[in-house]
Amino acid sequence: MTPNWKDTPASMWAWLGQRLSALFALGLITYHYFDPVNQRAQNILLAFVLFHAVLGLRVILLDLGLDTKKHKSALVVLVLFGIVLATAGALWNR
Amino acid sequence: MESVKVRVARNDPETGKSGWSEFNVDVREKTTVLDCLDQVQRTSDPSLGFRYACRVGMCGSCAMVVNGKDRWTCRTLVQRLEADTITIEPLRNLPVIRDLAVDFTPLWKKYRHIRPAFESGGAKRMLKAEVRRRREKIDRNVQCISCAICYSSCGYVASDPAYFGPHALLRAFTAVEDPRDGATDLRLRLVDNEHGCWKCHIQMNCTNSCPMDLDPSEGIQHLKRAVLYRRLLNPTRRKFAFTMAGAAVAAVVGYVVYAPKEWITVGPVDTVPTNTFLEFDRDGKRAFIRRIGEQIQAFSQRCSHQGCKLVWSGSSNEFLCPCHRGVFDRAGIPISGPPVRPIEQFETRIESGMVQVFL
Repeated sequence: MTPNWKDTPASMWAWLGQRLSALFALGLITYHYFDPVNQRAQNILLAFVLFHAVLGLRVILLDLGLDTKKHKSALVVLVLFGIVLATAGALWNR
Repeated sequence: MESVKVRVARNDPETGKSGWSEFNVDVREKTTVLDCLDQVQRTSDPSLGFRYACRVGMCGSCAMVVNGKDRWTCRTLVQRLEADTITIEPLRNLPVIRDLAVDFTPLWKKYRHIRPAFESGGAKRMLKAEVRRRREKIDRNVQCISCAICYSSCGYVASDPAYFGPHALLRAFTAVEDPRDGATDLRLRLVDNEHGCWKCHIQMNCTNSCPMDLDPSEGIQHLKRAVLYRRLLNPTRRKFAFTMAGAAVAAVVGYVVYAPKEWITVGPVDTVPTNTFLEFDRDGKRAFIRRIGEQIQAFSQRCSHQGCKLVWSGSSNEFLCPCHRGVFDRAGIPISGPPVRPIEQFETRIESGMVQVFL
């Protein structure tokens, strides 16, 4: 089989990203129980949770009837929104 | 004329043999992948098994996995692939009959399950605009040629062989949206289960790979909404009763849990200590209270970080949070640990010698 992972569409990356971020967030939450004051871990956890959340928002938008032709731009906007929130959280949590 | 290498997946269930065969095929400007296979069968290996019929993109019988992607081989030009080697495999998620030909039986079984045929007796009276709106939605999607590319590319068909798949669900969508059709409710009931429309998690591989440019993802999302409306608008008497009972319980719980703030009398001024904190608790309304001269100070007992109950340590003159090791000084300012905000303070007043706190 020719490796052509670059052809993987954005919708598939969004699906995969949401699954992986859920796994990472679960692991980090478990870690957080044992070491709650590690600020770097807190920031990474926030980033993963936000990433997971914006991908969930994308699914909600599609559920509510967002045109599948527009889902890519919605994905970009939502991920940028998540990055802004994660940065703001990291700055606030210094 | 150039030459390309064609790698073909071989599979013979009768003898159990499987593997790869390689052929060199001459291609011209307009040679398609199907032409390559045809040439191989005519000149090199007559035993190569594959299926096709019309060769012009109408019958949907020649779909295969070409260089890792599901494509209709009769409309896929070799030149467009821009590769020296063309790897051809049978469609995924369907049993292989021989080499590149797959058995469509599971696909058609699921298609029949959702009642694909038109059934008369639909809504007689409908606004013309509504009819037009629905027609616009389905017109594009009734062009399906049943090539099974969507079915082959779907990750959820791969993980759940009982999942109806995009092919059947797209037909269910076009039938449900058809204003003349009379079996809407039946079809919505058929797709409303874990192997039906709810199995779809919008990977959109079907929409991205459809050679006819149809949109099964959109159709399945529409089915989900239609199923939801059907459930919400046609509740049974039992469902209605359960919903009402749930709402009543929620209202009672909310009323008990919710406690509006009010002025609560703590006691005479001289009962409030100056060198330590009074741990006040009346019916779950809690505060740390102390007196500085004629001023009364009341702190919340909730940590400003995650809301755990604080402990006053008289020996070290600090508030300690047991949850995340947060520490506050006697003025409620965080000293160490995760808290960044000071402890919340409540309003206080002295009314005719009695201390009151707004809790």
